Amino acid sequence: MRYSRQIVFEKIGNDGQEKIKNATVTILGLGAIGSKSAELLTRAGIGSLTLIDRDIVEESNLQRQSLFTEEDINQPKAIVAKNHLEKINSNIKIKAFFKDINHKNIEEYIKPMIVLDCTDNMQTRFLLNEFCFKKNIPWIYAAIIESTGMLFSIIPGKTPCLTCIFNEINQPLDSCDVSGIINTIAPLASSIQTTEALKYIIHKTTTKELLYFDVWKNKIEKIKVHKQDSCPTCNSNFSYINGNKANEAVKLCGTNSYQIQGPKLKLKEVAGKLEKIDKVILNDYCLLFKELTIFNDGRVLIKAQNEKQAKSVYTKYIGY
Amino acid sequence: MPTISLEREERIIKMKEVEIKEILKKLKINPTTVIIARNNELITEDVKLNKDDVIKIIPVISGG
Repeated sequence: MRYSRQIVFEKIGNDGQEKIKNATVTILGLGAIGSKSAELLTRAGIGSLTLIDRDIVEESNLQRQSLFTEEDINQPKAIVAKNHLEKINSNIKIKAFFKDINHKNIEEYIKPMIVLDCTDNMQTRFLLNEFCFKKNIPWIYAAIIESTGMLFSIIPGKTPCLTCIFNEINQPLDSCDVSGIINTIAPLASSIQTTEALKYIIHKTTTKELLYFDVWKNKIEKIKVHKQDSCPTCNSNFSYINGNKANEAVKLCGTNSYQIQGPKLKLKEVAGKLEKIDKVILNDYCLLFKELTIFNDGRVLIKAQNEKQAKSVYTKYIGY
Repeated sequence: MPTISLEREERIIKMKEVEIKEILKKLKINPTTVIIARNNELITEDVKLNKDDVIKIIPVISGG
C-alpha cells in the first residue's frame, strides 16, 4: 500500500520497486541537498542507507536543511537524520556515521551500489571522484549556491569523471555565506539527484549531460561533456586518495568556519582545561567552547575569518 | 566577434579575442573557477572561437 502510487508509475512498476527495496545508497553530506535526498529515498522505500556527515546542526541550517528541527541544534547531523528517517519509514536499514571522510578512512565508509555527493567542498569531491573511479562505484555530483545548482551522474569508465569537467580549483569558490542561498534550490537539486539515483537503480541509465539549473530563472540546461584524454583520474594518476592533496584546514561552505584535523582527543580532559578560561558545553558527541566545536576523533571546527586565524585559535586552545 | 554570456552577472558582451584563455584573462576570471559552454557543449581553454560563436561562462558550484 505504501508504494502503490509509485508502482503505478510505469517507469517504476513492481520490478522497479523490488530493485529499490534491494538497493543500498551512501549519502555523503546531510546538509541542504543530502537531508532532502535522504528523505526522498526513504519515502521511496530504498533498501538501505548509509549516512555520513562531519558536522552538527546549527540554527542557520534550519532555513534550508529540511530534516532538522530546533530540537536538533548542536546534535550530529547524521545521527539526527537517522532518527527522523526511521520515523518516516521503519523498514529502511539506516547506518549513520558522524565522521569526516578523508583519504585515510574513505574505503571504510564509501560503499556501492551508488553514492550521492551532498558535500560542500570540492576537495572532498575530488577525493570521492578518485576513490569511486578506482573502486568502480557510480556517484552523483550535486552542488548549489544562490538560486543555482549543478549536477552530474558519474559512471566510472563510461562517463567523464569530475576531473574531466572541472579543473583543479586553486582559489576558494563563492560560498553560501558570501553569496547566500534560497532554500528552494535545495529540494530541486535533491529531486533531480534522487531521480537520477532511482533511474540507475532500476534501469542502469542516467542523464548523460551536466545539468545546470536556476530556480529563480526557472531554467534547467543540459551541457554536453566529454572524457578528457589527459584526465589524471581516468588515467589512474591519483593525488587525493594517496593523501598528497590533504588540506590542513578546510573552509566549510555557508559558514565562517574552518575544520582542522588533529590527533584524537579526550573531551573530558580538554573540557577540564578550558573551563578555567570560559564556559564549556560538553555532550556525548562534542565540546563547545567559544568559537570552537571539538570532536573526540580530533576534528575541530573553528569560526574564523581565514585559515591562519583558524590555525592560530586551534593552537591557542588545543595546544598542538 | 564572439558573444560571451556571463551567467553569474547576467551580462552579455562581445569581445574581439577568440582564445578562451585571453577572454578569461581580460575579464579577470580565474579559469579554474568556471566552465565554458558553446552551444551547450563544454569546451576547454585551448579552444579558439569563431566570430559568430556564443559562449556561456558558468561559475563552478561547490555548496551543498
